[in-house]
Amino acid sequence: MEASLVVETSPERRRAVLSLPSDKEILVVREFKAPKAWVFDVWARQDWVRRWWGCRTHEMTRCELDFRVGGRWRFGTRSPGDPTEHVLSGEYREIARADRLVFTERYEPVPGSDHVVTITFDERQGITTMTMHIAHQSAAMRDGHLHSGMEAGLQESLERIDELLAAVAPAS
Amino acid sequence: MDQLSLTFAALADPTRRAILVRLADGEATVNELARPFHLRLPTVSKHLKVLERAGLVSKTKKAQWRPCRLEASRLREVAEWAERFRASWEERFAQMDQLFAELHAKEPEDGSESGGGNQP
Repeated sequence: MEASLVVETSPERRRAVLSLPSDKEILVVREFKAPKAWVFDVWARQDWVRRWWGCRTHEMTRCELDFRVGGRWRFGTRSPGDPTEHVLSGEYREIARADRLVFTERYEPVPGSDHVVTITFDERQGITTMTMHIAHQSAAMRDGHLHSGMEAGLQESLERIDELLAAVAPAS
Repeated sequence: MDQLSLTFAALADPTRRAILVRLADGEATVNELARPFHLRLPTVSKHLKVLERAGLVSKTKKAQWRPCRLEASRLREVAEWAERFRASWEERFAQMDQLFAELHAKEPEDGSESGGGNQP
């Protein structure tokens, strides 16, 4: 059974949809106003990866990629005031420019955290839908990955968990 | 299915979300829930079972009619959990949007100029 929360987000009203197709998978779908070659290349070009991998609370400390099948990638981030560098790495498995990208990913401190990320790009009338499918080896690892988003220290409020929370969970 | 998936599945249905919104106003019996939605009682019971399994709703034991009650903490917990994960990605997506806006401003929109870089 596929379950999803649809959350309204960016100013352009693009919606990221997070769903859990099974207990080992995560699916994230997002539209971009860009040709699919660009959306593909944000994963392929080091200078572009540097533009987005880090976030407000996490500075990008390391960005190494050997973008070819069998090549490896290694990205690191660090948050201010915390000496720990969080390093993710993996290997490129399939590269079909602008259409499909498959790579493995591992959060280095966690053995067995390896998962396979498959990204597909579908362009229609200047809008590219990027579908990111994350397949974990176990339900526990999948849930740990979801948890890690929480621990990423993002202080964003729950402003956009849509009308449901607002109506359903008044301050108590 | 694990607990998180159960909760997501429960929240994915618009009728069940409407039931939760109704329960946010206070406890209600199956009959009271069925009325505004024009649903048959077995249908409401089915939805409630899904919500109960997901830990989002409980049935109070005190009364003969066993009214249903919203478990808001469970909802909040799951919503926060998913939201933080999604938010971390949404922030990255917003940065991609920014990059694309810059590229649109200086390049033709067919993307043919965007290759190179680390391409093999």
